Amino acid sequence: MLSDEDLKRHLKSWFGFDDFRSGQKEVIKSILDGKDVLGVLPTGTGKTLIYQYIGKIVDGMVIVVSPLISLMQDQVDRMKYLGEKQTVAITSNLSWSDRKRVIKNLNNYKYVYVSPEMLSNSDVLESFKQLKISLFVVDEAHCINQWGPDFRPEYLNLKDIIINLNHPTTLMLTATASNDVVLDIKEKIGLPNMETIKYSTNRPNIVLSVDTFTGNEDKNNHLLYLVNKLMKPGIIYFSSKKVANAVCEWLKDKTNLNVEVYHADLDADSRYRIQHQFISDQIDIICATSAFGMGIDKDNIRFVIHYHIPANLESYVQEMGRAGRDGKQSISVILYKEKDEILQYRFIDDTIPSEDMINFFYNYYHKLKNNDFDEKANLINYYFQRGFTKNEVINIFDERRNELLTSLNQMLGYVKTKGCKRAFLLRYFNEIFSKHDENCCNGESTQLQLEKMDLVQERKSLNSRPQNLKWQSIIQTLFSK
Amino acid sequence: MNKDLLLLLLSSTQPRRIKLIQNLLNGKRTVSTLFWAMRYGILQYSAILKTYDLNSINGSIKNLISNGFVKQVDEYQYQLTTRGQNQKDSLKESFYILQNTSYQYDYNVNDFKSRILLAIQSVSEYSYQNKNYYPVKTDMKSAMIVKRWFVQNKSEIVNRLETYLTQYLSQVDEKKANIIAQQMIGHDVYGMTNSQLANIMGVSNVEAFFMEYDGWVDFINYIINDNDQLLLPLVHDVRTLKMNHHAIQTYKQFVNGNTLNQIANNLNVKLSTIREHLLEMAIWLPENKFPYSKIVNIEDEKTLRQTFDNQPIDSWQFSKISERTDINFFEFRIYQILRSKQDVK
Repeated sequence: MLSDEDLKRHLKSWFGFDDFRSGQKEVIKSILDGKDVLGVLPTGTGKTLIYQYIGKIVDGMVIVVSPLISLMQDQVDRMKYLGEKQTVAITSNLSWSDRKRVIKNLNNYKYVYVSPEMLSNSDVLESFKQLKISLFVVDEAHCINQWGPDFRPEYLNLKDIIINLNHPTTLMLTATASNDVVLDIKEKIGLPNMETIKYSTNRPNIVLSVDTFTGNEDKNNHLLYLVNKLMKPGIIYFSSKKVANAVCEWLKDKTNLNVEVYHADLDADSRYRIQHQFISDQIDIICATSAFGMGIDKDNIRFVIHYHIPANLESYVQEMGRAGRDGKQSISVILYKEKDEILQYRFIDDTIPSEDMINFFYNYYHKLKNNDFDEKANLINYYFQRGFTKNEVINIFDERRNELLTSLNQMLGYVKTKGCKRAFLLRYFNEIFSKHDENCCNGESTQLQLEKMDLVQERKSLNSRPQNLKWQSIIQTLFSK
Repeated sequence: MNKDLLLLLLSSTQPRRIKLIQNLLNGKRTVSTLFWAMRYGILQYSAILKTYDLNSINGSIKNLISNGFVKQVDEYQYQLTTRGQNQKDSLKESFYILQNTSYQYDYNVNDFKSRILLAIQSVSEYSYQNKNYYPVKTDMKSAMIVKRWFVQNKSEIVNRLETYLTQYLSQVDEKKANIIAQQMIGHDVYGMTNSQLANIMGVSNVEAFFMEYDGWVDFINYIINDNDQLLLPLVHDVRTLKMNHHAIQTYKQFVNGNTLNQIANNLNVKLSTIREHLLEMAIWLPENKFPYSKIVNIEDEKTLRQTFDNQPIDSWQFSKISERTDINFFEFRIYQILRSKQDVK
C-alpha cells in the first residue's frame, strides 16, 4: 500500500504537480485498494490523471469506455501527447483493416478507449477477455442514466460486459450526478455497493449570468456587446450548426476578432487546425456545438456563452465548466429569448420515436425489414430484436420522453429563477449553497460588475493570426537551425 | 453545393440530371453515371469532390431557379435559361474550377496531404527538439508510412526536407506556392483551414478546395518524377488508375480475342458484369483504343445508323431497335458511346 507521501512523490515525478486536486487522491487510493468507485468530481478536476496514474502503477490494461466517438480520438491524442504512446481508440470510425490490426495487437496497448457499441461486439469482447484488465473506466458516467448522449441502448450492456470481463476493478467518472442519478448509475451498472466519492459541483471562479431577451435582434446586439467587452478567449455554444455558422459569419463581419466555427460538419483537417489555433490563442472566439471542447485541454478560457439553452443542467455544467480551469475569474452567460426551448422540444421529437412510429414498425415489420432504417427505426429495431413487446417499447420511450422534458424544465427553471442561480444549480445536485454575493450570479437582482471582476479586456484581439504569409517565410519558421 | 459550380455543370442546350452530377462529383462510378457524365462533357470531374461535403444540391438548384438561371425540364432534369447561359459564360472567366483533371488517374489527395503534413510536422518538431505535440490526424497506414520514412531518413532530415520543399516551391507559380505553404503544419504553425484560405483569397470554399487540390496534385506528380527520391515513399498508392482493375482485366482479355462468355468463365463472373466492364472501358478510353467493331458488327452498325441517324444521341430509345432486331442493350449502348466520341471530334 502506497503512503500519501509516495503518492505525492509519484505525482511530482510523473506529472510535475505538487498537489492533487480535490478528490483525485481519494479515488486513486480506493481504486488501489481494489474497490469499485463512482467518482463525482467537478469539471476541471483532471479526471484523466486519475486513470493515467493508476495505469502507471498496475500491470494490466486500462479500458476506458467513453460516450462520444469524436471525444475519444481527442483523448487518445491527448494521452499520447502526455507521453502514453500505447494508447488507442476502438470505434466505428476505424477502418476495417485498422480495427483488425488493433484487435490483433491488443496486448501492445496500455490504455484502450472503446465505445459501448464496440464492446457489445462479441469478437471484440472475446479479445479483451484474453487479457489482464486492471481497471475498467466508464467516463461521463451520467450518460448511463441518459442512455448515452444519442440514446444508444448499448450503454445498458455495460452491466453484462463487466460480468463477462470477470469484474475488473471499475471506476465510473462524472462531473454531474445528483443523488438520484448516482443511485441509477449504480443500479444500471450492476454494482450497488460501489463506493461513491462525491465533491461539490460548484465552480466558484465562474460567475453565472442569464440574460433574457424578447427578440433575436436584442439578443444578437447583446452578444456583440459581450464578445467585444469580455476578456478572450471564449466559446459560444449553439444547439444548431446552421445558427453557429450564421452567427460566426456575422461576428467576423461586425468585429475585428478572430472567430471560427467548430462542429461535426467540419472535416478532420479543419477541426485539427481550429483546435490548435484556439489552444495557441490564435483564435479569440469559437462558435461551437457541444462537440467542441470535450477533449481539449485549455485552461485560460474566460467565458462560455450559451446562445441557445442547453438540454439539461448536466450538459450546461459540463459546457460552462470549460471556462476558468486555471482558477482565474471567468463567466458563463446564457442568452435566453422567450421560446428558445422550442429548439430543444424539436430535438426531443426528432430523436424519440413516437407511438405511431412504434405501432407502424411492429405492425409492418415483415415488410420493413429489408429497408434501410433511419436512426429512430434502428432504435425501435434494437428493442424489437431483443423481444420487447410493442407496449413495452411504447412505455420505455414515453418514460424517456418525460425524463427529457423534465430535465429541460429544470434547465428552464434555472434560466427563469429570480433567486440565486448558483443555489438553484447546486440544489439540483443535492448541495446547499447560501453565500450569494455580487460575484456569484445575476440572480437576486444582482447587477454584475464585469470591470470589477477583471473580466473586461482592453485589447481588441488576443493575437492576430499570421495572415497571407509568403511561402519563404513559412518554410523558415517551420525548421529551426 | 456551391451554386456557381452547379451552374457551370449545367447546359442551356441539354437537360441534365442534377442527382447524377452530384453522384459523379462524389465519385460514384456506375456505368450509367459515367455514360451520362460523358454525354454531358463533364466526365473529367468524376470523384473530384469525393472528400468534400457537398451539402444539399436541392437548395442550390432552388436558388438558381429563383434567380432565373435555371428551369426545370422534368422531375429530374434541369436546363440553363438564356440568363443562366450568360451567367455561365461570365463565371467561366472568374470561377476557379479544378485544372488538374485527368481521364487516366485518380489522386488520393487526402491521404497524400495528411502524410506530407505529418512528415513536415514531425521534421519541424524534431528540428525544435520537441517531442510533445499533437500529430496531424491520419489513418494508421499513413502514420506508419511516415514513421518509417522518418526513421530511415533521420540523419540530415531537417536540411534535406527544407531544401526539397524550397526547391519545389520556388519552381511553381508564387501564388500556388503560397497556397501549399499555408497548409503546412509544424512547430507552433497550424496553417489555414479551407475556409480561412478562401477568406484571404476572396474566393468560395469550393474554389479554395480546388486551388489546394491542384497544388497537391502538382506536388504528387513532381515527387513521382523527381530524381531526388526523398518523398517518394509518401506517394505510395496515392495515384491510381481511374479504371477499375477488374474492368482492365476484362478489357485485356477481350482485346486478346476472348469472347464475352470465355471471359466470364475465365474470371468467374457473370456475363452482365463483363458487359459493364467493357462499357466502362469504352467510356474512359479514347475511340481508337477500344475495339468497337468486335461488339457492333458492320451489319448492326448499319441498322443502328439508319434508325438513329437524324436524332440527337441523348434521346435515342433502345425500344426502337429492340422491337424489330436482335441487337441487345449492350450493343446499342456501345454504339452510342462510339457515336458520342465521334461527335466530339
